[in-house]
Amino acid sequence: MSTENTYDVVIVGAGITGAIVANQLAEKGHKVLILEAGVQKSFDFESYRAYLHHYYQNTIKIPNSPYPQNPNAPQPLVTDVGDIEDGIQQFNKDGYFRQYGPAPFQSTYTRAKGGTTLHWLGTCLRMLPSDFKEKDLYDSGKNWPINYYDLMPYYRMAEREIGVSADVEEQAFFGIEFEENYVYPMTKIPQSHLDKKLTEWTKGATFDYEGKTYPYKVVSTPQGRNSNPNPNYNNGEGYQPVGAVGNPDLGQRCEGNSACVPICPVQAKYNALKTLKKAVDKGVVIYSQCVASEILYDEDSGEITGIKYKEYEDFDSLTDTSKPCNYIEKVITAKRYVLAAHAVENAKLMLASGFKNKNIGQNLMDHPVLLTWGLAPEAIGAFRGPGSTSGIPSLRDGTFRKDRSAFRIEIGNWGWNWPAGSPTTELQEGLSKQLFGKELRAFLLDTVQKEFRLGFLIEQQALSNNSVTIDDRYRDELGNYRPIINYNITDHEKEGMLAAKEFSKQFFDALSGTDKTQYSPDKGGFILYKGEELWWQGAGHLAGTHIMGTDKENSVVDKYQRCHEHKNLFLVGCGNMPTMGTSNPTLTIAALSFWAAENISKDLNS
Amino acid sequence: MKITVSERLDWFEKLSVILTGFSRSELLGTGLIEIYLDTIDQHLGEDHVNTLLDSFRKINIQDEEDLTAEESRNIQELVESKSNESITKLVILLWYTGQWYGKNSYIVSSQSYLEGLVWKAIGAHPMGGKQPGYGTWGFPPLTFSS
Amino acid sequence: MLDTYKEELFKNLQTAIELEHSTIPPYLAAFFTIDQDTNPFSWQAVRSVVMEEMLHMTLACNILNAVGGKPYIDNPKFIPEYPAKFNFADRKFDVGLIKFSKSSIETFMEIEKPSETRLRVKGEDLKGLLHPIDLDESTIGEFYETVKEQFTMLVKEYGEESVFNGDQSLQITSKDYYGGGGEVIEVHNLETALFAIDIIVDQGEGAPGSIYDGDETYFGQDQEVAHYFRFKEIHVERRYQEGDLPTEEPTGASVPVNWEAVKDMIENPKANHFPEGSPARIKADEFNQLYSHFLRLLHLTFNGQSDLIVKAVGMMYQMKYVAAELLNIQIPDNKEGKVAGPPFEYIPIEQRKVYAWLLPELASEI
Repeated sequence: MSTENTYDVVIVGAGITGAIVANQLAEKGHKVLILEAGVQKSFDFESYRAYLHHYYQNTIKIPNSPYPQNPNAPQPLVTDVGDIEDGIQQFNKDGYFRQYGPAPFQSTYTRAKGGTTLHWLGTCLRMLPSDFKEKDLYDSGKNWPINYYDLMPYYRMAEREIGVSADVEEQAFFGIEFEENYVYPMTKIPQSHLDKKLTEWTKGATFDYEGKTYPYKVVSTPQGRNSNPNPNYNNGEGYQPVGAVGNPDLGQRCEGNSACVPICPVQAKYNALKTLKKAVDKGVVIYSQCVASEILYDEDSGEITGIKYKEYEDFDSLTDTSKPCNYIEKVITAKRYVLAAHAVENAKLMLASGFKNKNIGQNLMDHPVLLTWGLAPEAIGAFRGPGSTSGIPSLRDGTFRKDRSAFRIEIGNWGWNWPAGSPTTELQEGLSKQLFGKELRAFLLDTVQKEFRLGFLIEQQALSNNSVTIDDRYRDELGNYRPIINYNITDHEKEGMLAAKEFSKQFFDALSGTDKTQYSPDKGGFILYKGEELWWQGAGHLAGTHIMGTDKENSVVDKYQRCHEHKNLFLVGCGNMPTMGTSNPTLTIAALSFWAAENISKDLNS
Repeated sequence: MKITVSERLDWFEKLSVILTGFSRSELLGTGLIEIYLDTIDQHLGEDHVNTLLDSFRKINIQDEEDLTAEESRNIQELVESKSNESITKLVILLWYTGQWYGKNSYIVSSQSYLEGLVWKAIGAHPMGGKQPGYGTWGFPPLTFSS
Repeated sequence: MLDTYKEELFKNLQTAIELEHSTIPPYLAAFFTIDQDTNPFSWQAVRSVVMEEMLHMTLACNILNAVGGKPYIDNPKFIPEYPAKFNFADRKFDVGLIKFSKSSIETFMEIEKPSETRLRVKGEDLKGLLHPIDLDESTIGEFYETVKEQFTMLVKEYGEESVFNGDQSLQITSKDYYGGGGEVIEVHNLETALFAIDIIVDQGEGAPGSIYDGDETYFGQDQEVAHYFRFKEIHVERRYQEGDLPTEEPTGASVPVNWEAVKDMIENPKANHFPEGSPARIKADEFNQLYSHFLRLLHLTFNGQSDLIVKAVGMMYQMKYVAAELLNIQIPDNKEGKVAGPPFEYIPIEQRKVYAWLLPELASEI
């Protein structure tokens, strides 16, 4: 086994958090190496185009469909969650996750250079100030060891790095504050025609629930995709949108490809390749096809002494996805170590290394997404534009959080694609009605043009029983552990879902639309609660497996993102989040990564 | 009877116009008509395809983009007949999605996915291709004036 | 007197707009025939040139608007009939709508060829030499040099305020241009007018004595070789690298071009070459309709309705997809098996159709 020791910092994982930490540390002159489990890929645009063709030619268009399954670093798939049979949730036992339920964990991530930002939607909401002190305010969830104001400067950095498009005036709600004169790098992404019509149709109407009323305020969503640069950005310095890696002319604006998830064909949507490329240009080294398998540490001091990894042979992941490769084991050492491999992978790696902190792997969270769908009163032109350009924030905060989950409502621009497989489903329906020719066309146009859906991202509380663990019996082809998932949702979340379902009903009434929501009881994620049928999917926001807190009893890392018990090890990513709030987490973990990088650099220099 | 390659293609083209509801210019514009006929031949056998094309030929359509009432009735009969129902559906699915729906379903090519007629039919563009340009989603949907 | 000089300036700037536009259809036609995945380098190189020609046209409109002129774009004479004759002082040649090939790239190189003798003139060095420009007597570089002289002279004689008395709200801003090198400059004085012209000339021919186009210096963008050298790279299938001289062959990395993997488009397609009612004719007519609507939208954009640029760009995308359809359609009875292509022909306003894709504002105008 060979050992190499020339780096200040070794980072595990080349996703957004690893890329930001690497780029920031390189900026400050530190020598950085990233270990990436995914296959070797150049920064050429052609290399990215191969993903696009893989997506086009994949009959199943799920979030990971452009990114081939790699037996050396397998990834979970949404199709691994089966149906409910005789009241029991079924799982694909050959899937990457070994799931024990009772509820299905339906979110996935991508193990490739660039990580899950390759298929994220791009939503860049800041968390609400109240989300950081939920325990104090509502006796629910947990408190963070830092608050919104601590994170504010880092939110700015993250918004710059990702290139967020939004208008500040629209985003200051529920106590969210911005520094004076702050503007986002780019003006807001144009709202869809659907968004505008929903605003118009629900004007003045309210959602009435448990004696309270909430406005149907449709607000444009901050997004990590390129729009018109704001000339006032950075005190009048302006902003230059960042195009595709390897082809910077492309992707300078969102062109409405309507495929943000799973792949933006022109990279108008941010992905971590953009930051990685900058980092590499500053001297950061990436070892691809290197899967970290164990963190070595001194039993007495807790100090990390190296990272063991398995480097597997070259293969063409696009054509040869079946066979595992030969590999050699190596150890890398550095002054500081960072795990940026993803909430689940970070936890798995620490468990595999025999870390003692009991919180590791616990508190697994996601945003369960209750989906509802229906028809607008007139054609709104579904399947155009980014997946979502607006949301309704009214129920993101309130004293009700004592008793039920808050949620954010996302308005979906792609018809019933997510909940019902449109437009193929409508095509099959037309064919089953014996339609063909012009009648078939008319049928499709009439139905699909009016379609839209709502997604209610339900805040989930951190619970010790929802967890990632490992089991000697379940390993992948390289002999690394497969994550074992135990997962459930509580009445707190189900109460939130009830409110969401009621919101949906009232909303469709208010706009004189037709609610077409219909859940099938055998589909994973279906539940019957207090007589109401509910159905939820995963948002892909896997979080909480190594939360931050004040001591090793209640958390894995401190507020500096450093492990309580391993002073030269820092963790980044969603695993650090003690609460989810109702914001999509990427912007927040990007901000935390800037904060972590600053702390690591200070630590190195001290 | 003996059918020449160009006759087969011609009938397949006309039949496709009727089955899909798209004009010849739209179908030819996909650049896929020959590839699709090959695909169908490959999975169902030329003889089977010829039987369908021959029944279609016998209806003797004058203008496939503008059927007479009688022609429509005959076509309806053809499409709903036991022997042809499944194959005409496969042809429609192929044109609409670029995918062959068989025991082993597959997408014929990237081009076939992008040329799937279902996207034009719903007044949109294929997800991940033929993007309409920045900001266009903020405009009302395209109204069809035909 | 100023008015007379201004008329001259208007005429020259309108010529500039038309000149910049005249290269766009030939570049686009060639671009449409390239397969992105087989020839990614050529695809990107030609695309970037087209994008920059659009930038140049926009800059010329901004200059014209800055001095109180009015760009005319939706006009039958605006589009040359292809093949168009390009008559420069030192070279005369035809420019047509030709598929991507060695020979079309050679023509493009002719268009963008640097005028080696071009001088960078400073304001104070100018002698009063206002005279009408006839492009037949000069290179593109010389033509623009004369326009610059006109500007400097007029400002000297009449002052900046009376020369640049156009409505500032007519300026297209940098937010509306993307996807290519360079930036839109808002023109409001001599300095910005001369800068805008420099961008036009440098992106095409290269900054004086250089293969590079100045985007890096001017805008902090990635270093990029000028149009002539980009075409040269395709032609010899090799990149330039740092240190290469404009007078010498490129010595950088090899970029093989697959000249066969190209749509075999008929030369200079015209709608009425295809039989009435045939698929090629239907799609060619549709393309011409789109193109004419596009010019209309541009005209309105540059004459006060700058928000319409979003729709104009949307129209461009539609043109691209219809062009792709044309390039899939075999021309009946063509012995060489050629396919149809985009004709870029003007359709008078009264003959324009309200198509499915037509946007509401425009429909109401027709």
